[in-house]
Amino acid sequence: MQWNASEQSRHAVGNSGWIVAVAFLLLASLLSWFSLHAIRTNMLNVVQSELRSVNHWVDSSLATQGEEMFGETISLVSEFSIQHALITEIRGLGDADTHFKFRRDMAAWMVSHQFRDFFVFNASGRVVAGMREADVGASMPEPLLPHLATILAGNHKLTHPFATPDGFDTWVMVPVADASGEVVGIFALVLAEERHFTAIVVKSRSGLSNETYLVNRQGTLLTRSRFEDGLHSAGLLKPEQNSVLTVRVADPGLKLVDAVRGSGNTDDWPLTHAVADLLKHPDGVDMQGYRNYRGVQVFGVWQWDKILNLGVITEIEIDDALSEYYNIRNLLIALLSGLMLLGLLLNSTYSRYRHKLEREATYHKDLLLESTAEAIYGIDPQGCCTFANKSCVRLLGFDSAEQLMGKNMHALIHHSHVDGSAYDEQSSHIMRAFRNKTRVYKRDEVFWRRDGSAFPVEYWSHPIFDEQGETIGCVVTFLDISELRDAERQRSRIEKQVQHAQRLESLGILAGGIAHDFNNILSAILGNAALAQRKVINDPIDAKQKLEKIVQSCDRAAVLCRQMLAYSGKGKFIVRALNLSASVEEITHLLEVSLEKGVVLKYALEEELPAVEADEAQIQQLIMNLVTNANEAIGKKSGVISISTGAMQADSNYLLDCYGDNPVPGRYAYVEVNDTGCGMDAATRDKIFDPFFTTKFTGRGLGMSAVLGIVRGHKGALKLYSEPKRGSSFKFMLPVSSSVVMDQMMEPKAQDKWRGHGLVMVVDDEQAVREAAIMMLEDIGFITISAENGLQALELYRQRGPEIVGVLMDLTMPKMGGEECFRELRRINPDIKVVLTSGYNEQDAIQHFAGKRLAAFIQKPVSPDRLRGVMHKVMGDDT
Amino acid sequence: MKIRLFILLLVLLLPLSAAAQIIKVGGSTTVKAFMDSAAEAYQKLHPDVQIDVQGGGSGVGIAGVVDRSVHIGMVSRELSVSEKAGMSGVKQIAVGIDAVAVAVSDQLFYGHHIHSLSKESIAAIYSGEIDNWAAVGGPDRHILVLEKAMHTGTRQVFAHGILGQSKAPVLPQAVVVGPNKHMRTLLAASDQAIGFLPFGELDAHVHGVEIIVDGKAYAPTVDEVLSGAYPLSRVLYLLVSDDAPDYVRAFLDFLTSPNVVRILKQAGYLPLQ
Repeated sequence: MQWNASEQSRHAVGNSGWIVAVAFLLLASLLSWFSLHAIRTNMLNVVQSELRSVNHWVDSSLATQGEEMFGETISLVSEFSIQHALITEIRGLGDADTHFKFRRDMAAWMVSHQFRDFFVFNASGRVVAGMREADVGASMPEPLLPHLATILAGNHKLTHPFATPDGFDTWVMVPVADASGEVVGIFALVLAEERHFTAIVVKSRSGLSNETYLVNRQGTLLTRSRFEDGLHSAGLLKPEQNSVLTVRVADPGLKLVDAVRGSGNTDDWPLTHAVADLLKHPDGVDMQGYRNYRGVQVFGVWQWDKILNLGVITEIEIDDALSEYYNIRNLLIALLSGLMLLGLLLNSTYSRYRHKLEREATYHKDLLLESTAEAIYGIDPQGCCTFANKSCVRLLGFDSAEQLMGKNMHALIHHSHVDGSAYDEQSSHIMRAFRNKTRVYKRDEVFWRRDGSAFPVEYWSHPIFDEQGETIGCVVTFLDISELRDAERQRSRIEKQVQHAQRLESLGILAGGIAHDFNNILSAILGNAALAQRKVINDPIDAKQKLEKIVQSCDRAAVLCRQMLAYSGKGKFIVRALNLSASVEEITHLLEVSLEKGVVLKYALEEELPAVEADEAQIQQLIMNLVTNANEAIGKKSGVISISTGAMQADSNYLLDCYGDNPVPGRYAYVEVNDTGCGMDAATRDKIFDPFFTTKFTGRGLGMSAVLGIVRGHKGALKLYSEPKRGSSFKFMLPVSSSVVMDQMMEPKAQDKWRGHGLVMVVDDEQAVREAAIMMLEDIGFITISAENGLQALELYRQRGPEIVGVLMDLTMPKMGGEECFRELRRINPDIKVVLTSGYNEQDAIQHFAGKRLAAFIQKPVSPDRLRGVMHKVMGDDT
Repeated sequence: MKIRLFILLLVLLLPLSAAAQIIKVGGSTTVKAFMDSAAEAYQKLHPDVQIDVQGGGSGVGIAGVVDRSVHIGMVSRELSVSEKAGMSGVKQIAVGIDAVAVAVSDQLFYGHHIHSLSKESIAAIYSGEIDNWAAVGGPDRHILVLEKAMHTGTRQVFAHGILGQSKAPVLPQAVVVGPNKHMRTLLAASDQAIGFLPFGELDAHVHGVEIIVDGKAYAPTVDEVLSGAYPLSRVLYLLVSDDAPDYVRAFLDFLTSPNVVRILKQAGYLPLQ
């Protein structure tokens, strides 16, 4: 089960997360690169200036030390006693004793001034005095001979180190002048180690690899290498040999480490970049890196000291110089990697967390979707299935949701109407939910199963929106309502049966009552007629009274007949405005006759009752059923049935525990029937409205179900209250009609003494009715002619039309009915005044003939007063 | 905010409190030659400890420990009875032996086979009674007598062993030099000089000679020194008060451990074992 849309959006979110992360890392890397570059440049500048300052320091220290030594030496030889002794020796005037004394005088000065030996030469370069008697007469060392002339010319000299049998020596030589200022000899001092060039360059060393060294024009080292051990182990130096004068500052072509020695003869190696450059230029710098005499990549700064005639080179290994930079770089790389790892870790943790949430959400969604009995599926805007639950799959006859996924659901299950005609997808109500972005509900369509069979469904199509409010899908929920439909059909069939049986049953009851009543009426008529017959001659006034009683009895009989008509089926469902109080009165005095002897009927009827829209016959049947039921509940015992009517305002709360088809709150007129009978328990109350449920031995169980049916039919409500052994209370309420209160049954108070005149045609197929009408019309003052049917009436009207002022005609006649005849008559005389009579409802007839210029309608039976009133209205006062 | 301030203070104070572990050492320059190297080695192992080594002579070392102006006093001679009496609660620890050799140059040692001299001859040379090498079996050459300042430990050992008293006067015509190194330089450069040096200062060109006492020659060797027979030697001591802090004791433990033998030898002294 998937939500493709949301899945995609999640992917989008995931992707954008990655993009942001990668962009961030790129930015961080770029920034780091720029920073590192700046740091490196800066560091190179710092290194270069450091190298330069060290280099200058060494050079100036060399110069300072040289000047110091010259100063010390010159001041020594200028000292009178020393000068005297020197000149004595140079002139060859000294002996062993003077030598010894001079030696003794010199010894302390010499060592305390960091010299370790001394010599006195004459102008020809021969030793005339020194620390050792044995040296006297020896010649100046070979390497120093070139300086002899310079010094004799009055210059002083600090020599380069030169090789001796014990290693090397560095001398300082000053001229010795006699009193006349003529240079007669040379005084030479041998530098102690503290005054060697090496002692100065050693002081300049710093860090791991910073080294300053001195070279002569041949590129030979004049100071000891800082890395002599390495040169030893690389084989460049013999054991016990030091690097002064033995190492040529040449590029070995590779890094000399341990026992690895560069290839070939060291004399063939090219001088290092520093030395090569020094021989051409007075100073230089290389911050790109070059290989030095150890074969290591270094940065270097150098200068040529003209006075000492040597090169001063300061170098530092690149790795050492940039170690801080490398540290920062490595730290940054580590940080970036850490950041990346952290990002990956966070991402994976977050995605795991999200998956977990998704799984849980899916689980709950599945739980909801799969556990519901309703079938649910989702579609995308193309109408293709995005998910379907188990109920859906089962109802549609598929095996699994996968068979539906991605399929067009309309083509699959909704392609045709119930009659098999094609159902266009765009006009389907499900797609309407898409278009109108509204929820759609239908319950009169069918879905098609996989096997091609259709089933009626009730469905809801609910659109799903994205953040922008666009429809991205629909969720369709549906139910198979085949069983519901069957049940509905069954119920309506049963209801019809019930109503039919009910009518029969009530007819039976009614017939009994009517027969009894009719008998009474007939008895009264017969009795009065017999009396009147006897007294008509002797006592006409008394006879007239008797006849009036007969007329009254006939009125009563007429009411009974109307009841009969209502039940005969012609009444059908004729809704009209009805006064419930009148209905109760009308029916109950009929029922009174069928009540048990011990039962007393009490009335509390509201006279000014608002009218209700109802079928009189059904309402009467309803009341009859309720009273009958109450009567039977009391049974053979004595009891009271009270019937009350009234009007009330019913709110939704009150209507909540009422039976009915969702009655709406509003104003209702009601009839309440209470009895003091046996009452009902809860179980009976629950079933009382079920068809065929009865507690009576002979009952058919249709009475109360018919009651509820009628109440429902009138959109009314029924309230039931009952307790065992205490009695029951039924209260049915019908909504008040909007039309005015009217009382149909009220006889017109016809104190009308109006009299008519002229010829009136009476048309009725029944002779008795015809004659009665003729009598009554003639009584009013009219002259009459009669016809048995419409054809006869037309014939007559053609003959005597101009004489006839009005027509009283029955609606239902053989050959030509009242309606047709009325039409024909109007064709002859459009202004003809026709009064129709019928047993049918007056309201109906008036509606039926509305606009057809019917003069009036009188419902049968017709009383003389009513006829007079109607004729008065029709003819007007002018006649 | 307060917590941050506290942490900051703590961070700032930590090195201060560590730097508060300063060990003051003072006294004999002879012992200082060894102490300097030893202190440097110890500080490499314990960067939190700072060791301040001052010279001044054995007397300064003794006085410093007594008045607690130094933690460790360096002494290169035996204490006098009165000195010992004034030092209650102070421990005396021997760390090495300073042995002094009478030295001559290559030329005399090899060229003229001056391999041994009697104690008396040396004393005569240093008192000016003998001024020519011929008198002791060498060439006919003046003797260049090299001396040191009277107060130095080496001179005291020499004077005590040869001249009979450690404060014997210096010969006027002798060349008085400062550091042993200068003595060595002159001995190496000269073919007629005599001097005296601690054993460790001897090198390939400066040689110690046997000293003959009562007809018996004692070579300037470690074995002879350790046997106690060699006449020119002294024990080097450290003085420390009993109430010295723990970090001082830890340093003392280091000084008396076998780790320092190499340092002791480099300084020209001999280990006790």
